[in-house]
Amino acid sequence: MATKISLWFLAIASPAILLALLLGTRTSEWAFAVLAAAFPLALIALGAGRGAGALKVGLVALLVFYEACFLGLLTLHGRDAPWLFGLPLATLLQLGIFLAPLPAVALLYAWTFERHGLRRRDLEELRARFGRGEGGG
Amino acid sequence: MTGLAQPAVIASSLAYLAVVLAIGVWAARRTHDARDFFIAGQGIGLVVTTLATMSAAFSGFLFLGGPGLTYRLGVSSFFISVPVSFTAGLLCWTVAKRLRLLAEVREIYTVPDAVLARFRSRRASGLAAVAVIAGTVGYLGAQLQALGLVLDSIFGTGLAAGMAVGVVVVLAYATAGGMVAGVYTDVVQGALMIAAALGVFYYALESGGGLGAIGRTLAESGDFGPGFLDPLGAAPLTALGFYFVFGVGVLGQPQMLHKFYMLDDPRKLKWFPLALSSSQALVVLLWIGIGLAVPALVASGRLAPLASPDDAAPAFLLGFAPPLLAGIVFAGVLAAIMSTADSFVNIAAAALVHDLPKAFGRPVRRELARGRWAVVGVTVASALFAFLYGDLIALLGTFAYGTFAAALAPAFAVGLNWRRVTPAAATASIAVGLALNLGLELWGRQAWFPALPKPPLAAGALPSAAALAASFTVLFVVTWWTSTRDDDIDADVAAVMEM
Repeated sequence: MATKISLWFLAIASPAILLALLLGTRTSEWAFAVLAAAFPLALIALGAGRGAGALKVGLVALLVFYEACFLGLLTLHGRDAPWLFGLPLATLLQLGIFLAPLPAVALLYAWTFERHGLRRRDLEELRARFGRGEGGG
Repeated sequence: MTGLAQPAVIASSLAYLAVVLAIGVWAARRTHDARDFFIAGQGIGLVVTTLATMSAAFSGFLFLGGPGLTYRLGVSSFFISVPVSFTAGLLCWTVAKRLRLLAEVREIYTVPDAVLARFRSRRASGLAAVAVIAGTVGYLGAQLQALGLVLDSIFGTGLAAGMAVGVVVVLAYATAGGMVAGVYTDVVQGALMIAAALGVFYYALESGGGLGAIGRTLAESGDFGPGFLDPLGAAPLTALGFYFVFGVGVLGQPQMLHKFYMLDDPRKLKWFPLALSSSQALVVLLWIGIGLAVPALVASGRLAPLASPDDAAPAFLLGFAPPLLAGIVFAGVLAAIMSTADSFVNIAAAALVHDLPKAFGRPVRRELARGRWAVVGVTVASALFAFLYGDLIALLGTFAYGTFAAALAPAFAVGLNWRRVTPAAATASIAVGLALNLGLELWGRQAWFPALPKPPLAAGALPSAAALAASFTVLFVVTWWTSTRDDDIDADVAAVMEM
């Protein structure tokens, strides 16, 4: 299910992003931001394959975080926004996008690795079945 | 001021060069066959793979080009490195595991090898090799330009002479040691840069009076103004384009993908995202620190306006960092450039003597010897290209990164995870991504035909972002057009894709 949703999203988002880059209106900027924020997460869900279910909560949380930050940046763009900790709020949001998801993404990967990433028995089975060079090519 | 006035800078840089040469000699003794030359014998552990991948990703592009781009565009340029928070995870979930497992079941050295294994299409594999060569010429050119700038900053050689010296050093180094040399230089460089980035970040903030003072100085400055601190800058499509290209395009970077083949045990990927993204985030502090401090120093009159934005990092290091730290950073930057250059020349050499002949059905017999000659050709071509391109290091790097991204990311990201992607779809996607990125870039820059209109992109839109989106679009359209229920994938590759 997650694979299908990811593929549909990627298939629709790709031409939509291209269109946004050709049109360049204010709406295009918003559309590009929303789609670009979700694009890597859709690829993660696609890559996780059978393990995507275990990532559901994490990926949705990341999606909400990224979309909120990018929509915040667009809202604050060009405005005289408040300053916090010596920097404009928008700059802080940018630093937040840089730092906050880092441990979440990395630990989510490690946490799901044993069950859905690469199990030892799967690796051994692959080596036993195919070994190097037996598959042709 | 050049580094000649500061003996500590000279001493650190020369000491580093000695270490690099020693690694080159040692590596040459360990390089016995093509497997050693191209994938370091597939015997590299997690820490070395992490540092090598980080070093391949962060090079002269980041250390010199990054602060230069920030000087020109403001903090919107940071969107190039903002994606490091997720790119390591994205790499592992989407391509790394499958690429590494492909190397378990096939004799695979290169990115086009993986394309051939997955799609059984020599045309797709050959096009991937062409994309690798095209992107390498741009990326290696950016490294050589950065190397010329560093040598000019330290020894006052001038940019052209600095690049020429750089070409000679890279050639001597890469032809001797191959990937073994590159990987172990990466380790020295990675460790150096993590330590140095923290020091530079501290001194950068201190020189500007702290983050708050830097922010106020920039916002009140007539030259920079509040727009400098706006993450979406003057053109939001540019900032968002950086995020898209560098966030998604990471899946098509051969200099990073190639490293996964070298990992000795695929199960070590478990901690790879944590190790890579943490080390990358630390090193990015160097860019953020210098990128914010230098414009603030210029705005406050403590530093003369820069002749070229790419001078930002050298100007800060030579004028405001302690000489020993400056020396370490210069040495680290030299290491970064050298290791990345080495990775690229070897990847391009592999494309020339391994992938392209294979695509034409005429494999080369003495790959190792021919590979060393290919290194010479690629390096010289890259230096010439960079010299003729004549723009900021980061813009040349973005073009090259975009070439890899648009040509290779869709075929890998979707193709390795969805069995219905056909060879025709992969071929079309690679061809469109490559042609569109090169075409839009050259069209936008050409000055031979002044009457020719600019490419039909919105103001600020990056050609590489459009090419990447188009490449994904073509992949899906052609897949739905050409796919059948019975996919044509070898059993071992299908097993890898199922895992």
